[in-house]
Amino acid sequence: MAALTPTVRTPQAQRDRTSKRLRTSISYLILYGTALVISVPVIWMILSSLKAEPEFIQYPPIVIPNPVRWDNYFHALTWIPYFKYTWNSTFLATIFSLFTVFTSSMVGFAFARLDAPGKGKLFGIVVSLLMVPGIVTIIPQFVIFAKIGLTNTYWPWFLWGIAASPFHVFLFRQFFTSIPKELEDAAEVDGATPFRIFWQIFLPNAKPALATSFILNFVGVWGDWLAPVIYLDDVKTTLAVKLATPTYVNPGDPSGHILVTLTLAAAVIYTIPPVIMFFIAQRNIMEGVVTTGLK
Amino acid sequence: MANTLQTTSPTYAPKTNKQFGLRLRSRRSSRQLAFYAMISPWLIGFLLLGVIPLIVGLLASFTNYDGLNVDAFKWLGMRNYSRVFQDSEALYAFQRTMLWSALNVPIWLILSFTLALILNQGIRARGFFRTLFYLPSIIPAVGAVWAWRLLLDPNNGVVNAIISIFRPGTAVMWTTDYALQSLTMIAVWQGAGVGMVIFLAGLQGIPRELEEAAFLDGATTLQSFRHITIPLMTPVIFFQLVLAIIGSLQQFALPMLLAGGRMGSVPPRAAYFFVVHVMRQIFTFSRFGYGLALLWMLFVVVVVLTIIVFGSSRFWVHYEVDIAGDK
Amino acid sequence: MKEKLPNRDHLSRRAFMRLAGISAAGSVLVACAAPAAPAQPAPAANAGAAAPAAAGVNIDYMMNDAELTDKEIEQFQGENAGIKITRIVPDATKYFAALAAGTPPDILRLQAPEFPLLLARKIPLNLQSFIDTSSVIKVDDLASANNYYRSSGGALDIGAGDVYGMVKDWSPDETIWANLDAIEEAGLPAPSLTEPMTYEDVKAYGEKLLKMNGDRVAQRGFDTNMPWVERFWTVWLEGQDSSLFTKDFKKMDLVENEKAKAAVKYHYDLAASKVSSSPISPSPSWPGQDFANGELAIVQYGFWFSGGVTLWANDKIKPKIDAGRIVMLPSPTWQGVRRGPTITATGSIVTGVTKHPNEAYKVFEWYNAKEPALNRAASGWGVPGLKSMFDKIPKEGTYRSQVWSVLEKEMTFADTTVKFNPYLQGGEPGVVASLFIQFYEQALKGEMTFDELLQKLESETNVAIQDGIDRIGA
Repeated sequence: MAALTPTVRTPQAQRDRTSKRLRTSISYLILYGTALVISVPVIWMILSSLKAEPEFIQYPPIVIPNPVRWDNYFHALTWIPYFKYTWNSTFLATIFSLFTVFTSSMVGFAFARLDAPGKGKLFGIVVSLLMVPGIVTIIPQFVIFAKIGLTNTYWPWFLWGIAASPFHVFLFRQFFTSIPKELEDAAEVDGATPFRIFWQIFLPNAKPALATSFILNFVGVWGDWLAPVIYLDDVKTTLAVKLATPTYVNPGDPSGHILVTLTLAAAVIYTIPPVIMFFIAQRNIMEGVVTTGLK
Repeated sequence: MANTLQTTSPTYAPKTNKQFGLRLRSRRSSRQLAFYAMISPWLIGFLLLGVIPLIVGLLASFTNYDGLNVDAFKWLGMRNYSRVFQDSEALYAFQRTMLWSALNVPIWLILSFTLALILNQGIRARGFFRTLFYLPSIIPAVGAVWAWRLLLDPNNGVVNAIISIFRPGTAVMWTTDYALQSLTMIAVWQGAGVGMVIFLAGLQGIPRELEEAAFLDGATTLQSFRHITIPLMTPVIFFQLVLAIIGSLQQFALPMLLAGGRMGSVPPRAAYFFVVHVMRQIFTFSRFGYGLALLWMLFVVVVVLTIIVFGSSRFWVHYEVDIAGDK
Repeated sequence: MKEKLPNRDHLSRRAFMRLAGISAAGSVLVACAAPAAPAQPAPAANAGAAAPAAAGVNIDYMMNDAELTDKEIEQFQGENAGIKITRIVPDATKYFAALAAGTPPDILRLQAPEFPLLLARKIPLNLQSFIDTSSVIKVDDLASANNYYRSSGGALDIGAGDVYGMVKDWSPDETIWANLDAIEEAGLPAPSLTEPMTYEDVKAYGEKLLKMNGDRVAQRGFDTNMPWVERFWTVWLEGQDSSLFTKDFKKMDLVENEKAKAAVKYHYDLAASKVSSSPISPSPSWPGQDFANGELAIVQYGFWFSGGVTLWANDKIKPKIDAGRIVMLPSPTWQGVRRGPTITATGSIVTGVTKHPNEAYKVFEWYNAKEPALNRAASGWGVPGLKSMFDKIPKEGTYRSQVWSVLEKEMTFADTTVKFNPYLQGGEPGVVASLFIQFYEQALKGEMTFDELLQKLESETNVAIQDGIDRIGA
């Protein structure tokens, strides 16, 4: 980039530089402002997770708890078999994401780059599936899985994964439509099959979309509680279910009010694995930048 | 299979060169076959896991099914649907939902696009910021909404406590009277990172060469932004817009959580959204069929809105290849 | 073992499958696609002589994990080879999906107001024949709260008769908890620890205990669990020989019923004056926590709250508990009538479609009369479901002995059950409470009058009742 900057200082270049400086400072202002607003609830959540149960809602608000209740984290982890549920979540999220990223990208490629009769109508179906509220189909679908004996197993996730997700088909299609046609043309002249073009040309160029899709799917399953609460029993279920249902509750409370500090502590731990995963994966999202920058 | 394909798709092979025409034809049909082969996982999955439940879901919306009524199960015809128009609460809830979407969608779209644009540049600690902005979408909603409730609670919340330093005894009703605004705040906070990630992926798809070429031609950054970045990003913006509208109209978890987060919780009037009303019909009043009818009505609205957005897309969405496919 | 024939008045498995077929119209197609589909299990109704448990029977128990712990399950499975307990998370969607698939859990968690509708729908299994031959549970030993799960016929005959279920534990739910220091600070006389107040007294206390600081409520006076309001109204009105509904429960009787109007008005006034929490003055968390934080002077909760308040109390309130300044008071009287039954009675029933009634009963019996029940009895979180376990209730120390002295007397008044509407879902909140919560915000903000609120409540409830009647086919 630096090599491209003209070396001669003309008044025009001078103006460009000041406007660039202005833009940069506005960018940083937005960046830091948003970072601040986004952090406050996160920080407050962490602080609250370290308070004694009655302190979390005390008035005037307690900022730094004294003493700091680190044992909330111990209780959050031991109240339920936390690591077993973590494993269940990880397993389901990984299996589903791997399959669905592959099939969704393939279907997305087909819709973006191949032609066949009925394609428009089929694509219409994909789009309209995005619009059907999930609750309409979730119960009939459960009945079908129950009939073939797959409830209370992880098979539905495997099958859902293979069946691709309309959202991600749409995502990949949008991504692939914006890839220049020239890329494809050269390979086509060489007589490559569409699948090879997809596999050898489009996928390697789609790393940002692949990483994005994987992360969104992983976090989606990690956070989804409706499917696991319906399909799985209390042993096989996921962390998301344990956090969404009254888990951190005193056993005798007939109304099941959750213990908020413990729930928040559990929520903080729950958030860590996907955050680490995101931090690692996000480099792939930016890979395009890195390679062009090095050129 | 191949037979039907050939009858439905006319060949444009030049008559002068039979050899060439045949090759082109076989090439076309092999590409068509490839299309069907490649979408088959989705198509088969859709037929097995999608169609039947959809039909059942549609049929059930014409009945008084509630999970238990074996003996008195009845086909109601259009009664569930005509009931929607007499249900003043449903119409009220629909209004609130439209208002909420009008507030939520643009703010979310603009913020997440802006963040993506900024983070697509050579900013220091990009990885940190991207992770930070994405973080809220990973936090389980129960924890996230509790954190916000602790900040926004009228009596004991942090925000009012801070305002009370200057004006003692302040109790702005953030979670009830201003629930719509508060929920917008929470939803944008929660969703901006997801939008940003998708936009970032899209921005990465823009060939650098185009911008560099423009730059060498003397275009300012603003010009290249307006004439290259934005047009090339329109497919992604369009995608995000459609999804945001759909998601926004179907929102119910946030108001439920804001109201206490239990199945029977009733959100404040200001945040009495359409799908909240639907959930109450199904789970509080056991009106499963009616609840489904409401959802199908919502579906129709979403379809209409999407068609409008699709229709407008020809004026502003830029595609490398033809969108409609089999024209 | 004597052969046990489960009563036939529950839903047969075949009927259930027919029903399930409605939501799986296309399941035939699926069955074709999947040749390995398991064979349909034999209808339970024919299987009175249930198959021996040798092959390993699984019993699905819907209960929270704090209420049925892994440890307890392990203990049971250790002693009963061949029976496996699978805990199912209590969740409305899950329950609904399982019903639709014809595979509801073998044992369900529920509260007393939910039982009439389930009985009307023939969901529960009649356990009387099991109890008759049981050496563990004796009918005479059942605490009165269990009467909510007994019926001498249909859904309108609840209170005595055949046993369909049992409470896991219970409390007289109208007792109130007072912060004596808050009352003293306000210059008010201390309430009697033995004689009940009237509800009007409680309201007067509440109004005087309300402390505002600008717009902010610094201390609420008196609060209750809103999702239970219709249950309170039900108790009060029965005490006056009245009801929220007509005798056959097919219509709501509110707008023309002065007694019912007064009951609704009571809670409405508390909300309007901000004495209690409401959409115009929401609670930061829930009334129990507000009380434990010293931001609410009087709260209405049952004996179970004795276990909670000690855990939830902050540093201001904790010493007050030990010093006997946080006390449980008798149930207030409504129009001079002293009652005070439980209105929650959280418990479990065995579902009629269970494939293994004998094993399901064995689990049920263990949960309600053996180790888990003993664990619960000693925890101080509720009154046991069996009278023989009453002596396990903790009574030591200033705090516990005060609570016990009130509870002991209270239990003599709690010996009744009230009738809930079998056409309405009675969850938490039930239909009436849910509608009240949905609409009273408008009335509190002046967007509708109190009378309009009542009319709305009655008309919407009547629609819900009619829906319920249609679905039962009565």
